[in-house]
Amino acid sequence: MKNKTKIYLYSGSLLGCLVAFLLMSSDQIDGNFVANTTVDIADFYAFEGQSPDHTVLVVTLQGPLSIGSVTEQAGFDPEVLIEFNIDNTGDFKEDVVIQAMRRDSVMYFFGPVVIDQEHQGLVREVQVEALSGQVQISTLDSLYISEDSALRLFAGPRRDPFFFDQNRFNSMRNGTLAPEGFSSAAEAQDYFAQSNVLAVVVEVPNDLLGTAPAHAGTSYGLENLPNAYNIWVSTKRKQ
Amino acid sequence: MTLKKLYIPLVCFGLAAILFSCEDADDFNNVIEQVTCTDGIQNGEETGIDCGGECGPCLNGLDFSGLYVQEDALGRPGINLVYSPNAALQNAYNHSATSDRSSLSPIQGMGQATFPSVFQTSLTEYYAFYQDPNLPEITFDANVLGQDITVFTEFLAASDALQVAPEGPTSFHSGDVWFTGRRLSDDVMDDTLLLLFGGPDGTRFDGVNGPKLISDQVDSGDRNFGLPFPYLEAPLQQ
Repeated sequence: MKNKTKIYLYSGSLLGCLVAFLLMSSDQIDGNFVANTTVDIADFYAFEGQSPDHTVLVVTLQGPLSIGSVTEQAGFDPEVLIEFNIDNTGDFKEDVVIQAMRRDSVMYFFGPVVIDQEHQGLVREVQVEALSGQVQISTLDSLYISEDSALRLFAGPRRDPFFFDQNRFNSMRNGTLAPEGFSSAAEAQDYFAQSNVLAVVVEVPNDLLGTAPAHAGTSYGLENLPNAYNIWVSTKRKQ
Repeated sequence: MTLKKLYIPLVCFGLAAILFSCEDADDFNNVIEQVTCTDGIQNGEETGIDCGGECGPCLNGLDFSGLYVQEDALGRPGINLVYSPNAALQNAYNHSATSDRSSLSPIQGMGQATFPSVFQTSLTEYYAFYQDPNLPEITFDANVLGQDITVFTEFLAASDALQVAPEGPTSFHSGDVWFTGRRLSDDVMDDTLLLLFGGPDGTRFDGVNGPKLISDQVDSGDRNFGLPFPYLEAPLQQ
């Protein structure tokens, strides 16, 4: 009896390890508990738009999605609030947010809207009074963008822009599976080369984000850097 | 009718006209706008009943109510992936507020450790794994930014956001400039690895001096990053 229990325990933990490893391998950036769920953020980009006084914010979600049925069946979760958090004072608390939330086949956007001190943090309401635009969610074959407001908006599936030899990195984590490190350029493989993601893209005029603070790197030994917002993305699930 | 008889009604009419016009202007600014936004009918500039135009936005009866709690968060690329050593810590990181990351203690199941100290441990372990046992011990010393291990891990954990410059070019790393944004084309994982394994001059663990850890040797391949809005390529199809 005791032995049987032991075997169960061993096979249980082995199975746990296997599941953990599979989840780990299939996720681009995040921890196991959110991997392959609808809150899973794959990546975040922020760069100057085609108009230099605009910033483009891109969040990719639920990636990497295989080509075909996996991509076709992926969708934004209407219970999940997607947020761009902008700190314009340098304390790494969100002073301004842009929110996105799906209803049916449309992505609704709220903000940029100021979040006062008592509402900063891990719990949020949708800032309905700051509804700023909406866009039909694009499909595999149809691209929809909205330019009706000050913001340009997009939501839908896209090719995954992220590139990395993730499998090799995973095998390098403990130093024993790949003691020589990364592969040669000829052998290296981009794990994301044939993948899609769900993406939300917002192009926003900088003057709606407030004045950028001193660059955060100046507190950590970096010099001669321009003023810069601190921006991160989050997903928040309805309770 | 004499001219005198005409004066009285004319003056009265004129006064009344002035008074009415003042009152109308007042009403327009202070009263009428509010009334039309709550009168239960679509009027004025409204695009729906009591919404749109000068009133609040139209939600079309959609329900966005409720409280939403953070389950995932991301600033710089790969921080959690590279520096949080297990699922529990990655999860704790995703559930923490950015501003709390350097002081949050205890992290669930981690005693008195803070995220910078967890990251320091990860970094030290990477070095231990790849230390050649026949050579003198290698430690992090400093990265190409001149940061020692304490400053570097504090920087990673406590300011984990993309720094995005509204003025001038934006990139994760371009020449001597670091952290002014992140373009789609930026090879951010090579940058991340360089800061972790490159040592003070960027050549440590370059494949010549020990194992090759500062670049994964993968580039963006056949991706097109020169597109107009929404900037990302159409999804791949079979």
